[in-house]
Amino acid sequence: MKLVAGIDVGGTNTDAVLVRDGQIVAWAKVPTTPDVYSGIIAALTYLPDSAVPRRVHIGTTAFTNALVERRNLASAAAIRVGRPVSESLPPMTGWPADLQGAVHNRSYFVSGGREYDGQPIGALDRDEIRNIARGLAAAGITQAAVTSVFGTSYPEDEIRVAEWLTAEDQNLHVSLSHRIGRFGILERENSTLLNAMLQPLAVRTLNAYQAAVPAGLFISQNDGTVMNGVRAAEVPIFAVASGPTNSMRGAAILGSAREAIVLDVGGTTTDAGVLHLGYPQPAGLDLTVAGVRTNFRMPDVLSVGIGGGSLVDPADGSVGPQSVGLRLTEQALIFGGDTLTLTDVAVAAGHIDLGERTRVAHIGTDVIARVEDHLRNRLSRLLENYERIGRPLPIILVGGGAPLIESILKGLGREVLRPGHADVANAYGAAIAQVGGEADLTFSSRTVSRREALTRAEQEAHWRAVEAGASRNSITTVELEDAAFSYLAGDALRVRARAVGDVEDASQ
Amino acid sequence: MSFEIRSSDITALALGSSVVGCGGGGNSYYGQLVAHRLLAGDVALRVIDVDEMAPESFAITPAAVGAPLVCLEKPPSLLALHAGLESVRRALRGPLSAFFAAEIGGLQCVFPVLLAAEAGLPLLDGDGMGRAFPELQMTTFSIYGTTRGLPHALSGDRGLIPPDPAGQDSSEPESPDDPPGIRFERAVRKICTAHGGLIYLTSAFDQKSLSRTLVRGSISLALRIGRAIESARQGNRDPVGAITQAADGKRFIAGKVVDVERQFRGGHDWGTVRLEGVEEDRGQVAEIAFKNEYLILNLNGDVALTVPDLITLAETETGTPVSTDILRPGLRVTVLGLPASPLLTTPAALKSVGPGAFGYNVAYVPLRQRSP
Repeated sequence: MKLVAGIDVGGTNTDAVLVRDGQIVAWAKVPTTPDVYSGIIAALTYLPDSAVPRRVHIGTTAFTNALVERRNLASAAAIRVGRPVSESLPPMTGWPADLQGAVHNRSYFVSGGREYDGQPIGALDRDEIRNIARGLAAAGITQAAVTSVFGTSYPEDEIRVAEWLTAEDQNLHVSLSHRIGRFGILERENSTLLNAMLQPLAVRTLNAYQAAVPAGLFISQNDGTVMNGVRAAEVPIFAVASGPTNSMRGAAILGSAREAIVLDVGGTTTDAGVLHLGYPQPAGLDLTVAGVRTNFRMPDVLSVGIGGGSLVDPADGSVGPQSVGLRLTEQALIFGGDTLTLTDVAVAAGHIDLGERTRVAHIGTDVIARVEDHLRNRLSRLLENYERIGRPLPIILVGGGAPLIESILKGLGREVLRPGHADVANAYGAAIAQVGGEADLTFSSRTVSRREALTRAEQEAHWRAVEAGASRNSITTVELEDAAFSYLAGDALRVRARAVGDVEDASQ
Repeated sequence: MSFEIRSSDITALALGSSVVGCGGGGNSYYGQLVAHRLLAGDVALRVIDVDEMAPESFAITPAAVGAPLVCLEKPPSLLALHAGLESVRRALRGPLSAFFAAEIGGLQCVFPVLLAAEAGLPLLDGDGMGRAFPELQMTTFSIYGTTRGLPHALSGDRGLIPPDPAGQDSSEPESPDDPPGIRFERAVRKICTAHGGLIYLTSAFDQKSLSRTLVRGSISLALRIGRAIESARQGNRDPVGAITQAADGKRFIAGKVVDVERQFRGGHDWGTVRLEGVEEDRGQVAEIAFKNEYLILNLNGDVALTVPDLITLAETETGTPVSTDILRPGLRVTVLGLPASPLLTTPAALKSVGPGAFGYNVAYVPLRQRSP
């Protein structure tokens, strides 16, 4: 039986779980360390010696933090293929000034690229590419991000440019947009460029992780799947924002529900998301990472200011959004503090047994009733955002603050699942993750039939899942959709596919 | 009547123009970025009423023709805009005094802003639709007819596209049932498809034609809507309520998208989006048919609003307009109706832009005449 360790590196705690056949056999919670990876080692050492995991899946915030804090980022060259198309929007348009200032990125427009129907916009010019490679080598820039017009549908030009670049300068690492982003040139280029800026850090981080873990290393992606270490070093951008996804995936499996609402109750907020076919529903509009607009997949999570440390107004029963946060154990009444928090009210109401109950004996039933009224109202509104009328979804309650609202949800007549190990749902979500691949392609229906377009997108998604470490015979398609182009008589077709599969252990 | 806009107004203009874009007109984000880049600093653009144009002068409108999705790979082409402008300007038989948008909705209103700022000429406060529509013959210029023989040009990423003789001066309908301008639309659409799915049509109109056909006040309206959304967001007030207030509109339902059906037919994106009400609208259902833009709103099984009135969707939380290409289950949106320009609701106009023009056998009942 294969053992897998899942590790979630959170802002406060680093959680580790050991999973065999989907069951948690051991778990540990240690404080997150500034260097992150000694926390991982610490968490792993709490797990039984006898149990050596085959794989370790890590959900890490290292890359998100680097982007947000503008630290440890490499300078990169953005090479846009398709001149003169798109010259009105040079690379990095709309980026925050401090991020631009943190690196010395360069921008190039070169000939090449395609129209939606595959016609070349211009011819690729090897001399042009060679000169760029020489210039970058001279400037000591080791990262390039190549983005071609309609590159998601016709990736050939990006691949050719990468070959020519590395033929000239073997030290140059090249990120290709069709491997990273979706349709939408600027957001795809942004994602690719951020990836290039993270790549050297990713190599260092992954080497450190690999040294810390005695097993095959996999990294959580923001779509609820993992990628192997080799791929994570190539596309670290996919590890950004994987935390909420892990939590929801963990809740889905722990709660044995594929269609459900997940509420993760923390100290300051409750994060809500909805599971569809066992995966978080993706977010819609305006996705930004560190102030930069991107277009890769992220979960649709709503946060409301209801948590264990939320301040309570006894007069009207309102809860949050202010919270004592991490200082709950100093400031809450039950711990000898002088701030009335939601935890105090829950203790007074008898929902949980924590701290010194006598310290909240003065909280009357009228206050409790007002607070519960308030919570009922807000929670039922929150749930409505995710449900269809007459078809309520079960609620999976995870996170340390779960007992605070459980009785209220039940009082609403809701089916509430509070699975065991819910407080390590994140790490469990990392441990049980499958491997995924995604493709977003455009075709001209003059040359490709709809059926063929769907097949090709599906094949591409499968291939990318294999590349990410999936075993070939376990792959299933979880998303396959086409959206036709509007305003065009020429019948263009845009197709998106996503596939997941089990981790191929031999691939390590 | 005239006023100024600056680069700091671009976001509000783009936001407002996407609201009146009724789900189409192209995603305005890239246009907004280009405008911000080119109008950096203290450029002030004067916006004037068409009556302030010199009587014998002309105004030029640059417009993109093609698939909104192609715009996501091919951001606005300045080269194409300049080529079209030069060609039309050379053919003008009088002074050029202003620029304007043929279609206020979505991306389109950014192009004349760019050219007007470069030329140091004013922008007309008006357009040819007061919203967005999928086809060229759906402008008030085609509906009411303009002076014959006005110059126009087609251009693409590499410059001018040579004129197609079949497309010249074809404002006459092919059959008596066809709306005016349909032949030109078909010819241009064909050229567009052959040229990468996105081309630019630059046209000039004389003041006399414009004063008769222009939908007036659409730039001010878009700005008013955009600013209302921005200030509501800043003040933590309801951004959707701000839209209805700014545009004299009506809120129909706040809900979540539960289903999107799409079909690709005749070069357009047809479909239906279904919503279920939330919170105070719980228990209500809505269904909206679209052809690139939202056309017909059904509320609990009854027709509640149709073209040419404006049906527009905004993200409930942020007020961000939701275009048809990004619809997907789970989005939380509010459906709004805004009144169409009176120029779009005459019997002649309804032949081109009423429910029947889109194949719907439904009578047009104006927003204002519907019971609350």
